[in-house]
Amino acid sequence: MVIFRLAYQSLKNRWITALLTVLAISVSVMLLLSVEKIRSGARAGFAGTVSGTDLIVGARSGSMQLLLYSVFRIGNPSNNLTWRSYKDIANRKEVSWIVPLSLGDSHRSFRVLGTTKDYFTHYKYRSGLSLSIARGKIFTDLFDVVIGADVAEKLGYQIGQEIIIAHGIGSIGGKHDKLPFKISGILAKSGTPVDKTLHVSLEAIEAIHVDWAQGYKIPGQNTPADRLRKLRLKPKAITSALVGLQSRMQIFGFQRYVNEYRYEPLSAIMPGVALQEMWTIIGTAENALLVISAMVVVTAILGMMTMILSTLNERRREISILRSIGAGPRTIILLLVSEAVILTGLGILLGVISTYIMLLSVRQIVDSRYGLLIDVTAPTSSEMMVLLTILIGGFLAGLLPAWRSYRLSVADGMLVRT
Amino acid sequence: MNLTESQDAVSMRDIDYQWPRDESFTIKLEQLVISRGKRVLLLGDSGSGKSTLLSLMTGIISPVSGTVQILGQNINDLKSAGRDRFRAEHFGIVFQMFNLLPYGSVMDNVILPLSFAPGRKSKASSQGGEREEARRLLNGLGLDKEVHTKKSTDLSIGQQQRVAVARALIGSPEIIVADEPTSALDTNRRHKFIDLLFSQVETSGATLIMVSHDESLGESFDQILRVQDLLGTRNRGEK
Repeated sequence: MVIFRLAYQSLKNRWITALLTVLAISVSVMLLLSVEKIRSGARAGFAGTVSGTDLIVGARSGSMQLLLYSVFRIGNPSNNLTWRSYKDIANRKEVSWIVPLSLGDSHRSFRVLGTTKDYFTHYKYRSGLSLSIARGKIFTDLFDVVIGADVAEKLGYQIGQEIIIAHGIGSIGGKHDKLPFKISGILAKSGTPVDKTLHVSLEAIEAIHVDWAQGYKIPGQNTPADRLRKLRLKPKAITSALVGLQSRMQIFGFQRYVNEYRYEPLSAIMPGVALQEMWTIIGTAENALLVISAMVVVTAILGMMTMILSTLNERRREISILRSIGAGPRTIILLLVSEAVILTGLGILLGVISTYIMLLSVRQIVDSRYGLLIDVTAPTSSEMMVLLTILIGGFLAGLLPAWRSYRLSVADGMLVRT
Repeated sequence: MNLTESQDAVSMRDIDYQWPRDESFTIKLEQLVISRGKRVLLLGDSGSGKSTLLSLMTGIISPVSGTVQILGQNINDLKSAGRDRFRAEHFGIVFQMFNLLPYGSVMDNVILPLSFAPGRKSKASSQGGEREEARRLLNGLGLDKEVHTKKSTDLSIGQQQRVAVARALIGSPEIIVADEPTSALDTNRRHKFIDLLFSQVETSGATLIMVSHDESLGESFDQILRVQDLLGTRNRGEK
C-alpha cells in the first residue's frame, strides 16, 4: 500500500532519529521483559527453597518464624524441641523420614547446622533437586564439617582446612576453640540458604557443648576430642525437624497431631504454604520493579511521541503537498499513526530478540552465581498481552501528532510552509 | 449537471469565507468564472487573499456561504473525503517552491498523485503506462533520463518546479493551478519555464489558472483577473 511505502520512505529519510526511537523502545521492552523473567525465576526459586518436605516441626511459634529460622537461618527459635518429643514424632507410623536440625552456633557470621546425613538426601530444592557435594565428602568423623558453596567462596576455604566454631550467633559468645573442625566437603551451589551454612553432625553439636552449662564455658574443664569421640552423645533438645510423610494425604492429620501434642507445645507448618505467605510480603518489591519498568516503557513511548511531534514542523510541508495532491485527512492520520505503529512494532521486536539473546547468554552465570534459574521459554500469554498493550500504546501515541498535523494542514490550506 | 457538459472550469458565486479562529478576517467574492481550456492569470500581491482563494477553489477549505462549482460539480455538496478525491482527480497543483517530497525519487514524486486518483491513474495507464507517461512529461519539460531517478532534493529549484509541473499534468487533470510557480526562479529562466508550462498544458488541453504578482507575465494569458477586484477583503495580512 502506498501509504506504508510513504511512511517507510519518510522514516528512512529520518533514519537516525527513527533508529534512536526504536532503540529507546526496545531497551524499555527489554527491561520490562527481563524484569518479568527474573521475577518469575526469583519467585520459582524462592518457592523452591524447600521441596519434598511435607512438614517442618518446631516449638510453638508462628509459621513464618519457624520457616525463617529453620529454612532461611534468619532469627532465632523462641524455644527448642526436646529430644523426647522428637523421638515420639519420629516413631509415628505416618513418618517416612525425619531430619533433625540444630541451630545456635556460628562461624564468622555463617550459621552452623547440626543434623544427620539424611539431611543431604532428604532436603530438596527447586522441584526435587538434592544437594550435591562439589568437592570432598559428607562428614564421617565427629569433627568433620561440610560447608556451603558461599561459605567456601567468601572465606576461601579448602578441603582439609581446620576451622573454629563460635558459640552462639555473632562474636559476643565464646569460642569452641579447643575443638577445631576439619572441612570434609564443600557443597555445590544451590541458590538456597544451604549455601551459607556449615553442616556438622548432631553429635558434634553435643560434643562441643559438653564443657558448657547454661550458655557459659565451665572454667577449667576441657574434655579432649579423642575422649569425646568415645562418648555416646545424645542431644537433649534440637531446634526443629523436617518431616516427610508416607502419604501426602496424611499431612493435615499429622499436622493436627503435632499441634495438639500433649507433652510440649509444638507447631507443624507446611513449607509451601508458609513460603507463599512470605512471598506475599516480600512480593511487594517485585511489583515495585514491575511498575518502574512499565514507567520506562511509558517514557519511551512519550519520547517517540515527542520525536514525531517535533518532526511535524518540518513535515508540515510534506503534509501540505500530500493534501494538495488529494490525500485526505484519513491518509494523513494513517501516515503518522502507521509511523508510530511501525516504530513501536520494530522496538518491540528488537526488544524481544535482545531480551532472549541476553537471557540465553547470562543464564548460566546467573544460575551458578546467584542460584537463580531463569526460564528461557517463549513469551507467555500474559507477556504477549503486555507487548500488545505497548503496541496499542504506540498506536495511541501516534494519534495526537496525527490529529495535530491534520489540524495544521487544514489551517495551512493551500499555503505550503517553508 | 454532468461534469463533461459544463463549459465552465470554475464558477464561484457569492462566496463568504471566515477564518476559523479569527473572525475579523473575512473574504467575500461575488463572482469568478473561468471557462474551460483558458489560460487565466490571477494577479495579486502577497496578502491579497489569493492563497485563500485557491484553497476555496480546490476545496481544501469551505466557504461559510456561496457556491463553488468545478467542472459543473458543486464541490461543497461533497463530503470532506469526497472533496479530497475530487481535487486529486481534477486538479494538478504547482506551488511556489518546495513542491516535492524530500524523500523519494523524481519518478516517485511524479506518479504519486495517481495513488489518490483512480481516474487519472487509468488515463495514464492507457497512455502507455504510468512510468512511461511520467517519462514523456519529464522529457517534454526538458528533464533528461538521468534526472528521473535522482532524489528530488538533489535537483535545482528550477528542475524541481518542472518536476512539479509533470506531477500536476500526469493523468491529464482538467485544471492546472499554479501558485507563483516562477517566483523562486531568476528572470531568464522564468520565461523559459512559462513557455514549457504553456506548451505542456496546451498538449493536455487543460485549463490553466496561474497566480502571480508579476504583471509582465500577463501578455501570454487569455484572461487577466486582479484578485483585489475580485475580493472584498478586510485582512490583516496573509497567514
